[in-house]
Amino acid sequence: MFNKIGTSLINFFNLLGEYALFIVQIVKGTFSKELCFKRVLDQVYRTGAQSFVITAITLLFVGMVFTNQVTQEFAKMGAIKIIGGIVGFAIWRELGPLFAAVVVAARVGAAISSEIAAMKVTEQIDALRSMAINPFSYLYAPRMIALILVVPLLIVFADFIGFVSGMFIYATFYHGNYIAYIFSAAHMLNLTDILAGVLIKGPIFGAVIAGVSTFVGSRTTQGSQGIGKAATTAVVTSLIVVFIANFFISFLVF
Amino acid sequence: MIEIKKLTKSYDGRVILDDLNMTIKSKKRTTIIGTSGCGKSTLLRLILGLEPFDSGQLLIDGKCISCVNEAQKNKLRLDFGMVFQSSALFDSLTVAENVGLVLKEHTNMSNAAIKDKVMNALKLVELADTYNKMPSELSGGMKKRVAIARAIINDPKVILFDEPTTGLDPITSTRIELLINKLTDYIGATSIIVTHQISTILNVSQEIYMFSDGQAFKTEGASKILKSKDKKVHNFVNGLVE
Repeated sequence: MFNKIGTSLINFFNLLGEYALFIVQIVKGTFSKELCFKRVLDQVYRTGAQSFVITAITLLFVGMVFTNQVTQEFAKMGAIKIIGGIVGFAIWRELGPLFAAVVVAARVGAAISSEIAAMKVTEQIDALRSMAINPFSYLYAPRMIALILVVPLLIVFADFIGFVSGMFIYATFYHGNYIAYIFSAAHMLNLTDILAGVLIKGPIFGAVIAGVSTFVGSRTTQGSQGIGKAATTAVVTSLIVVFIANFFISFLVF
Repeated sequence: MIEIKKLTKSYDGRVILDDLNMTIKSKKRTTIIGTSGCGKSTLLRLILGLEPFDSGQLLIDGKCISCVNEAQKNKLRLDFGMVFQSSALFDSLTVAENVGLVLKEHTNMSNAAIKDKVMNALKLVELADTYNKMPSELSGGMKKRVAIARAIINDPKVILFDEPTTGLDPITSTRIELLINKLTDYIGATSIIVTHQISTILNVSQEIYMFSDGQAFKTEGASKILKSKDKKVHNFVNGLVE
């Protein structure tokens, strides 16, 4: 048993080391002259523009459900006037960034890892290398940069949708006042609450999802079975790392 | 000239190439034959520096491929063109973009100049009308020809062909073989063709090496190989089971 645990630990740390080296290569690729801005823009469109609708739908319902649950309980205590602030805290600090990251990991992370995996098993990545094209600057870095730029924007959008959908529930079903809702949020929240989710969590979550997805995709073997496995592994691993990162960021910042 | 001296390569403890020695002459078409899993494709990957080898030397015109870093390997790779077994065309790029990629990434040629060169390469492989098509719209044989056009676009000194006719019908295979002969003579490139297809061995080879048990040995030429005096070669080319 101890032998198995030891072997697993060694394998885990080997993998962590390989991942760290992989990320270093992506960072080098980001700053190399081979990086093409047009490819970055293309990735920004593919990852960002196409994620807005699903992000909106997700935060629409998250905002409504959360507001409904919280308002019910706070109404019993006669504290309905601070709902705007409570919802604002929850959405801007945690739910907006987290759910935006979940959407991106599920939609974009899976797509990136399966695309890279398919390229790996069909020798396209080897073909790039044989043409003296660095896959880190051609393939991986544009995706990393795109997600670092796009996830904060998606979080801003998610926060807005979640907050406004909560306001709808508050006003419609609990006869709350729109102005009171907004005033409560403005009174209770400060700039750190609003910006930390966007400017700290956003880029970090984007980098995690891109890094994990490209790493998993680039190590794929076993043909079509491997491609499916890569997509699943990328999403699950990205989400776990995002949740862990979120804990530490929230603990340190708030 | 490519010199391979005592090259050893193993995967997970299984030795694939075991002190391999061979010399590939410049401007010749050298065919490497052998059973599946004997290390033929592995050798191509080692020549390009896509994988490291365990020990030995691999010299390309006197330069040691394993002695340099990735950036220097990339400089050496610009003298190579490779046609992969699966063609390895980039799905998200058109045929023209696939063929012209190496020119776009590594030269200062204008878009018009690249377009001309790509069109010429596609004409050589008789696929000029596929210029704007996506790889998914092409047949297997067409993909292989586009891959050949991509491999020759920057006038490489060495062209590597990994199973160029595997999976193709006999007529398409013959077209590919004729194309290989025509283009390698036209460019004057050193060619290494990995194959186990008898027609390709017979139609393309100027020199033939057989891989067996991790070693390489030179066989008779294409005109005499079917009646080879070596038992392993004879059994292989005639499909005889021991």
